[in-house]
Amino acid sequence: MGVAALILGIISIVFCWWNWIGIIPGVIGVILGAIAKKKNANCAGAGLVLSIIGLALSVVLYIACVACAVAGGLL
Amino acid sequence: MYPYINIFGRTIGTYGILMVLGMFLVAILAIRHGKRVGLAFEDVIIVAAFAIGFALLGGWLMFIFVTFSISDIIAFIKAGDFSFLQGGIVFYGGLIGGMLSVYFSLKVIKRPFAVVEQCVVPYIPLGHAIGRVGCVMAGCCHGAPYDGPLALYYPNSVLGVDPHQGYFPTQLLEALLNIGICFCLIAYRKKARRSGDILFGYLALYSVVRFILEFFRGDAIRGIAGGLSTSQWISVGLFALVVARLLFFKFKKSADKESA
Repeated sequence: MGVAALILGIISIVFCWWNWIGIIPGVIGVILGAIAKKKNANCAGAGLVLSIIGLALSVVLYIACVACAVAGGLL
Repeated sequence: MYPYINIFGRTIGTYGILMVLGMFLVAILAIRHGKRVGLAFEDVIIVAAFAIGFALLGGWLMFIFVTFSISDIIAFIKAGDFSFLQGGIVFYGGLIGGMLSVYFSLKVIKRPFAVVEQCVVPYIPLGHAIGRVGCVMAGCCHGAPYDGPLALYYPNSVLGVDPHQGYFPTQLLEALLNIGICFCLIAYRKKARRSGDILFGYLALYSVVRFILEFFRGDAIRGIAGGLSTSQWISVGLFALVVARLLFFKFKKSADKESA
């Protein structure tokens, strides 16, 4: 579970630039990372930290995209 | 105000930054209180992750359904135009999504709702207040045209409003009232007896605040039905839910007395 969180955290950081795509692996990664950390699984801490960073970046950049869409007259 | 900042050549919305800062603040304060009541750091993180995921989904879905009618959405899909999916976030949709998320997070962490509630709920309005400062930065969710004291001007609003027109500072007023709600809930936390008391206390206070503030709002991207905005109808619904809960416990108490 810790390794899964690590992989999802990396995916979330990589895809954080691409609209909302990074949010999904970020959320799942944070949940798996926290569960793994409770069980002291391998890579749990790293997975949790990377997923939190990926999720935070994805949310910041997604909301920026939303603002761009509104400003661009898409709505 | 300052809707965007440039970092490494990339334009980033200040609204998003402040929204994430608000989320982090709620999580940090919840972890801090969790230590006092025996709720593990990991449990708070799980609750927060579920809440963020569901809140974003709920806020986004509500924005789409408030902004477009079902017939508009069908017309967009038929035309192959999916630009309508690029929407904003409606706080009430986020709040309802966040409340639904608790069902799933409690299944995972296996802790009672009352413990999670007293750690998280009192700080949600504080995070919301920071989000409202983000609205001032972006120039969205503004008030009605107003030229009196404390009027706000948006020279580069994301909504493209008239830069020379002053607007009532509804976002700042809501931020201040949210901070007030936060302090009320922290004080009430010690007195709450039943599971759900703090959450319903928050819903009661916020629905009243939001219902009144909506009369001062001036942004056009919101649904209006029967003279009230969508958020006002949701406020009425949530307040009715709070009253129904109070009545339920009152009747239950009197029925218990009679049977005893």
